[in-house]
Amino acid sequence: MDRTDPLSEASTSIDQPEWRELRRKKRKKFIILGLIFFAITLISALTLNVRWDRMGDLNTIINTILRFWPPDISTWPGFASPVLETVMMALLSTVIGMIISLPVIVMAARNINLPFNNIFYGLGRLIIVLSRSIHELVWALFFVTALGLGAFPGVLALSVRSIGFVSKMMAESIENISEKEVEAIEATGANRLQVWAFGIIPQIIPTLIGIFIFRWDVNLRASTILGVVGAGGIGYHLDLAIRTYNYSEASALILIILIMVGLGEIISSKLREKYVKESEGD
Amino acid sequence: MEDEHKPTWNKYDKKKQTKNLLLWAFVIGVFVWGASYLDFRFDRVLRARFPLSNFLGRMLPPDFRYIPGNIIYPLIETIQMAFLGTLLGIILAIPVTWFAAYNISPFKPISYYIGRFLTVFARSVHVFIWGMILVAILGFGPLPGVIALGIFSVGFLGKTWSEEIENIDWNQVEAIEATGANWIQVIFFGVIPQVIPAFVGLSIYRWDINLRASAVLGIVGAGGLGLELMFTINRLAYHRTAAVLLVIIIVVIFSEAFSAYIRGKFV
Amino acid sequence: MALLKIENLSKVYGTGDRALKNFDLKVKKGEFVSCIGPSGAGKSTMIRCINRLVEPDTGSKIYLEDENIVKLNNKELRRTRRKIGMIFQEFNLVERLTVMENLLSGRLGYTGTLKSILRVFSDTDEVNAYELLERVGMRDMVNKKATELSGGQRQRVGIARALMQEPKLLLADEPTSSLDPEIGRRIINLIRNITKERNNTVLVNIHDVDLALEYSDRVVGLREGEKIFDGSPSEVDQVVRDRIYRGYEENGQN
Repeated sequence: MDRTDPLSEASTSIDQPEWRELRRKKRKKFIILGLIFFAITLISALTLNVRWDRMGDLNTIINTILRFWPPDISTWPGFASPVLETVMMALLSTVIGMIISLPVIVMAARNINLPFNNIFYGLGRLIIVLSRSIHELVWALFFVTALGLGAFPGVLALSVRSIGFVSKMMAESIENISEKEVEAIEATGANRLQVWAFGIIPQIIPTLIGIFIFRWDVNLRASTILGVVGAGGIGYHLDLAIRTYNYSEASALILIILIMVGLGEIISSKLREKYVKESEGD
Repeated sequence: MEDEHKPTWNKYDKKKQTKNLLLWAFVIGVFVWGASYLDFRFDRVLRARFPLSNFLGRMLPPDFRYIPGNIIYPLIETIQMAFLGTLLGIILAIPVTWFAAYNISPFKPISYYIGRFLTVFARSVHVFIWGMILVAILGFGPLPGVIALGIFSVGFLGKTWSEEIENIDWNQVEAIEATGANWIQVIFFGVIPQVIPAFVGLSIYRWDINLRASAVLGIVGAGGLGLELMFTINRLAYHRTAAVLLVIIIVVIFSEAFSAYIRGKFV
Repeated sequence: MALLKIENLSKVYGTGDRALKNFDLKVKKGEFVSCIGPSGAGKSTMIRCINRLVEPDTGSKIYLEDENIVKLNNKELRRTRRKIGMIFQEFNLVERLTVMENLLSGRLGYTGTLKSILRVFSDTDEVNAYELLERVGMRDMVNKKATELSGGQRQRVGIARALMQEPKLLLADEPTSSLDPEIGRRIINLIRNITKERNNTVLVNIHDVDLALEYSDRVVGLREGEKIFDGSPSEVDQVVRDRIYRGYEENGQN
């Protein structure tokens, strides 16, 4: 919609206020929204049930903060076992989570057709939503209350929680595969299983590996705190340290957690670089 | 090749095959050993179905009558915590983002490193741990929850926002610079218009996550529905627990739908 | 009387590329000067040194009305940049702002910070904006976002934005290279006409030699960072073109 020579442009009347009017209206809308927002914030802040009585005065607060430093590193050796437990929990739950997800993926992927497809699709989606909406700590609480303390319920909790993410990602990946590649394999006269092995699976392996690595990283972070509700891992000791006012031990534990999570992140990004690229290069 | 073999095809050569095999053996070994270390046996899983179904039976049907009196207030508190926490996070994230975005960082490279450090530090400590620390310092109640959410959000927003800024079209910024505008004007006319949709989208996303976390922060003492959940569990009133859980799930689902809607309109 | 005087302009980039070598130029008030030359000749660097989007090497001198731009501090530089309008090859409009806001951003150097953020510009500014929009034929696109415009339309807005500064000097860095030849011609035509009407001084980088010859008062040729030619368009014959674009030496060597 480009014009011809602007010099021959007929001079239309210049409507001065036009832009200003718009500005004014926009500004008004902005101000009203802003005031509403401000009002909501003010009300929220003022009605917040701050337990002033349990807070103590500024001195106490500062003192408490200071007690976290320096972290008491001498306690580290004693925590080797919980650290191992935490790492193992993460690994196990990721693997188990992925295995359990298989049927869910089959149900939730739109291009995998089953008898009573709609019911299964709905069921699959429901499971995914449930798994994702309930925080891992709540899952852990659930399993601990039902089965007792320890890492066992913790692993179950994380596995169940992983189903949501894994299934959603894998289902999407399957829905996004290139039909052409599958068609090509089908055209050779391969049977259903072979089509899967040669046409479908190779396309989703990079995603699979990526999901595993990512979820392992997430589960590692989660397993550091599951212990708070008794589901195993180093979180239990952190909770204990805080409850017993052992703040320097607590900060030492936090340091361990930071290191664990940091290492986990480094390892997972290295692995992702290596494997996800490698498979694509095949 | 030296000797006249019939050519064979293998997906991987011998060396890679052995390496792969060893890798798999190692991984499975670790897995098996880990399972036994955690006392995670398959038969335990099977046997678990008894206490699990027992427990479920004690939870269902949920005690709906418990809701109006006892859950509405904690629910509001949960939403409050999430709202104020996200807001706090947004406010604190603004200066941190400014520092952490390399192209607009004011006192490079020091300010850049400070900004980056702050976002990484805030993010690495799980929001729960922040919650635990703050409850230890400030006592029970929603305030530590708000602050914990705020601090953790700074980590997330600081990282994502600064990455957005680092990816803008610098040409547009140059054009504004060329008119003789000062740096504040350059940021407001050149940088901000480019990143606003992403900023808003990320903030709303953060609010959604914060709401989920807020619902359970009460487990460590930070108020809201989580605290209520703990109460019902401690009293073995599992039907009520189910009711609280139901409310949490519904809130989360609503929040997700709501934030998806808002993001659709804005972005 | 020279409005712009460039002396000994040199620039070596951090990568070791020598972009400009002892470049001199004098531009008289009201002149329309085109700069031609092959890619990488240093045209873009030269233009960007004038408003210091690129920093010239020490020893370079750039005088705008007898003030050495190279020596200015940040505050003074901003003040001087107001007087220099720039049109870009990629238009460089702020995409998410409307046409009007893009135009008004040309007045940022003249408007207080707080006011500009609140989009409160003076009445005169707004009247001028409307007039300019009218003049470049974009009047009824006032409130459209820049993303909705075509290339030619964007460049018109870019021209208007630069002129909103009421600049003493107008720089244009290959304003037509991203446009279709037909539209590019109209844009150069527009630039020429508007600036003649307002008695502006213009320095343009241009790829299309014929366009340059048709519209300029004077032509400057650059090659590998050095000025090869400086004269009137009528003097640009094939020999001169070859010297600039193919690098034949003065004594006829290749």
